[in-house]
Amino acid sequence: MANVLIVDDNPDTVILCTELLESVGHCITRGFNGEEGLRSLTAGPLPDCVLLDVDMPLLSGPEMVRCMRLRDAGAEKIPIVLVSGRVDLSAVARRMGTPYFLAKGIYGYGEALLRMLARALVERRAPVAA
Amino acid sequence: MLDDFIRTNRNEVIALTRSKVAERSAPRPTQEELTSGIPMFLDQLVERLRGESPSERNMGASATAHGKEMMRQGFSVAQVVQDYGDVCQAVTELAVTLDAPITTSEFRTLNRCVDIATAEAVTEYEHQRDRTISDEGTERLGILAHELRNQLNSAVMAFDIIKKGSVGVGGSVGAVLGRSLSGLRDTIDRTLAEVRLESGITKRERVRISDFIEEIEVIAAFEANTKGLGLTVTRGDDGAEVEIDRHILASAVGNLLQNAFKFSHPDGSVTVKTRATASRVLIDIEDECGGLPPGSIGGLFKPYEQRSVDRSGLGLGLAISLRGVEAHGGDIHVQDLPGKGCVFTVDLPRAISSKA
Repeated sequence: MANVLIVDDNPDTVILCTELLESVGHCITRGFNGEEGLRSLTAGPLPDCVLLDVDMPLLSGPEMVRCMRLRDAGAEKIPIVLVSGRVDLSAVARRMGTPYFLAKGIYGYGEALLRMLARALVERRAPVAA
Repeated sequence: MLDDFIRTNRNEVIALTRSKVAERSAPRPTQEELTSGIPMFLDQLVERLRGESPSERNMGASATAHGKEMMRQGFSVAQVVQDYGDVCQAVTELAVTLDAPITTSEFRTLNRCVDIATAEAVTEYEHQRDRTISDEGTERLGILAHELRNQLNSAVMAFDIIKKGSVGVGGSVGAVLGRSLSGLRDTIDRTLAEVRLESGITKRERVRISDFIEEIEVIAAFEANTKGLGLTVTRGDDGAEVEIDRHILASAVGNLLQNAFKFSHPDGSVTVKTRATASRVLIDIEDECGGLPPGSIGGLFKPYEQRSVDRSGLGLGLAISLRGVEAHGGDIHVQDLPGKGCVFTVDLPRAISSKA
């Protein structure tokens, strides 16, 4: 079981992901934009993985990851699972350097998210700077 | 030559035209029109006089530029037509006063140029306006699609998680599903209301306001209950009647009620009261939102303005409600109750008593 940080500006998405991940035993912390996400990283133990939205007010997902790299050169090696409804999600993930991404609203979303998260926790591939 | 005459006496022509425009009662002249519009129209006319036998491409490009400029400066079609005419009159009068050696043929050319310049600039002005309306429509459609997609994504994700069997239907995931489906319905209803408003009110019926509220109360009570809110409906009218498009007014009042439910604090209550005077019928919708942020009343009815940190929805409900009520010759008033909530009052003209 893992500590997962969920960062998304849609409260319903945060509720859904929290319920799903807690139902399989994960421990959840939350942020509703990139700035809150960054604060969560320093507020307690580092998460094992971050579930990250792309478009958010104040600080977007890609900008949050850029700040994470600037602050610690990515030493923690925290894998990022990018979750968004954007049609260019794969391109955004590629630019960010993360192999883990999932489109919102697909059928079988719950199962797909759990499988993606499990893979990220095993492989632990943190985003590589483009 | 006429264009030389105008160039030499430009200031006098502008001054004379300004005095004509300033005396006009309709359309009322604006400061912008007097200051920069008249010189612009005069310069356009001179440009046309100089290129009296221009290539078609030059004429088209000139008309396009003029139409864009008029649109950018906010002139109406009526102003454009009148101002060109006033410029032409000013040139003619000044030429006669100064006994300028302008031939009849040149005056005919001037009038022809004014006619063509007016027609082409107005045509391009209309094209620009249609394009702006089309662009605004595309933008609104994009925002609508984005909102629908967000709500649909949440509904699909919630359904999928429930289907997986690891969470109950009655918990927060079920609530998200219900909320998303309601949100989809409300977004679509709001869009349909907008379409009806765009089409205009084609059919009104005479309705007792208490009967109208009774119909709305059925759905409102259900929604209040699902949100854990109380709903009280008090009928203080005296059998007053209104003449309404039932769908449009139901949508307007429904939006106000949904707002009241959205912003009232948990375990709060929403109150609906009807009352009537000799000439007006009023529907008060009071919520318990805690009061409005200072200075926010002015922007409440603007499209896409959101009232609080709860930014769900498009922020169109109040704007559409106001349009719907105004279409009936009415208005919506807002009263802030600091620390408690606020009251939205739908104010409608009362139908003349059928018993009279």
